[in-house]
Amino acid sequence: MPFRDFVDLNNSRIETALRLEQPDQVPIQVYTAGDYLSRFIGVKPVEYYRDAKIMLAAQMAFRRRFYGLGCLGPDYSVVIEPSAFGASVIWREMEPPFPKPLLSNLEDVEKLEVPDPYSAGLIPALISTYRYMVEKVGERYVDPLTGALGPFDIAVLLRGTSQFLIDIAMKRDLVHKLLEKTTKFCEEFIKAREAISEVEWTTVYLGDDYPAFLSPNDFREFYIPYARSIFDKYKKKGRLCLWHCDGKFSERTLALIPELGIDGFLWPCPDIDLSVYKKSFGKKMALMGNLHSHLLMRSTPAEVDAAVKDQIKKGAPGGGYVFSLGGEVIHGTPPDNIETMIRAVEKYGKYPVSP
Amino acid sequence: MASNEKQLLHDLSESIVNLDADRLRRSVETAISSGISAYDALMNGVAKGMDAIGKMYENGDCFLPELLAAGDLMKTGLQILEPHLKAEKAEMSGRVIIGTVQGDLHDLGKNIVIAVLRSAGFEVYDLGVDVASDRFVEKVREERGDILAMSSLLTTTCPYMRQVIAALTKTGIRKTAKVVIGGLPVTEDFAREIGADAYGKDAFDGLAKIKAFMKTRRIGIQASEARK
Repeated sequence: MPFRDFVDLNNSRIETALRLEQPDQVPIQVYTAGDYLSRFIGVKPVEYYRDAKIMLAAQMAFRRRFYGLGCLGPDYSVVIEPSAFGASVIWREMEPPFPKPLLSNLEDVEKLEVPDPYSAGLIPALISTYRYMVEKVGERYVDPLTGALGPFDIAVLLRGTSQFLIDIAMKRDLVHKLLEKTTKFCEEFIKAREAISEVEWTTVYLGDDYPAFLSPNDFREFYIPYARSIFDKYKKKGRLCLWHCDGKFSERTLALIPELGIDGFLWPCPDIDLSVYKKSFGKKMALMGNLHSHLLMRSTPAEVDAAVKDQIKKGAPGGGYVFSLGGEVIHGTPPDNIETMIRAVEKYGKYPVSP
Repeated sequence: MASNEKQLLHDLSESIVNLDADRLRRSVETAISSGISAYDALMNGVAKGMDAIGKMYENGDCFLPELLAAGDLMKTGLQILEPHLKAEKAEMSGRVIIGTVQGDLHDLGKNIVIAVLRSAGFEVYDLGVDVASDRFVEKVREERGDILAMSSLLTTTCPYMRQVIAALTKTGIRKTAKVVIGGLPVTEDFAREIGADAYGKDAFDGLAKIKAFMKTRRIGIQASEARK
């Protein structure tokens, strides 16, 4: 099948699955980022992250090698949103950039301003990279900026992971103040991204890894209201609301996920078996996952083939399922294993699929 | 044990369990002024509370924010007790030097391990994140560390652990310090391959392995003293 036809067909299957329906074949999504892609074309990660031309070249190289799969769009790891608040960015030669925590005292949240969603920090770099990519490959093939870091993870990055979790136990009122500001920014930044996007959005996506570590009560108090305030606005517009969280949930907190009102749960923690997610919410939301990235990196092609078959048997029955890794392709993954994974999805993913 | 002493130790433990920083400071000072040894206040008060939180965390009765907050409080308690412990020449469970390896800025896993180690009475020296091999080596030598614990979240940074072990070996202190490693990309096979002594699949597994090393070490020391 010609390259672009496969991409279009796979994308339409993904849309079907995200609507909780059953396509003719299990679609596949391969999440890629700079850590892997830079090495894929033999450059240092810092060159990838700091040069839109190299970023695009690496993403296109992966797509050319793997049937149009892989991400294509501005990729700045997790630094855009914190940089907008004023966090400085540590650019490292061999790792993705990382923001330096901004709030050494949580009390300083009172002085924190909600940034401008078009011009603050590295947002202009994101916009110009998006426009450059659209100009080079066409808007149809560039990820349309629907994804954003969620309000909780922005707060975590502004404060530092451990410190923010300690704050939740010790300084609850101030944590709410910080989350109010990050949520407000998230809402405005998503609006700005939608305005900039050259393609009409059918989905909206938030990624928040750290709420998984909360108790059920704290998840209800510190996460659901903030995430819902964003999702609810887009639900009203008829968009599919997609959410990513790969932290390892406790059973009791995991049970609260449907309260977020989401339509799809993407790349959940691969340490929890896909059958658990399917049984818990397979009828309420689409699932995208969940082959462990480390398994893909370390296994033989035969083991990869068997693991893909197993995932499909667990996730695919009844539809509402997109095969993917439980995260991004990680450094050191043999290209042969990626090839095997893609072919195995094609081989085992023809509907009907029974458990 | 006198009932007053029992009550004071209970207060210390409860202040950790209830994450009450003011009560902890007051209780530590009262305990010391009442003549309770700093070692007792630590091991039978503060660490007991931390141990209770650790067990609650393991059983799913409390969560990461509480575990980390209790670890942070315990650090505060330790800071107050430290000069008294030195004066008493108290013998702790062992000395652990810990850090996230160079290139890696993640600290969550490391901080969980620190909280769990302190609850078991270990003296922990936290080097933070992005730690170069010479800093690890220097600190192990300076503090005469029993254990060097390294953490990494990234597949790209965990190979650096091999470099740290090589540096330890080169300086000769590898013979006296055991190396325990952990983190998302780390496996038992990887630990063996790079010459680490153990892999901790989580904080509690790491603690069990460190305790086992310390037990063997104490038996060894006793045996050699007996031979003298």
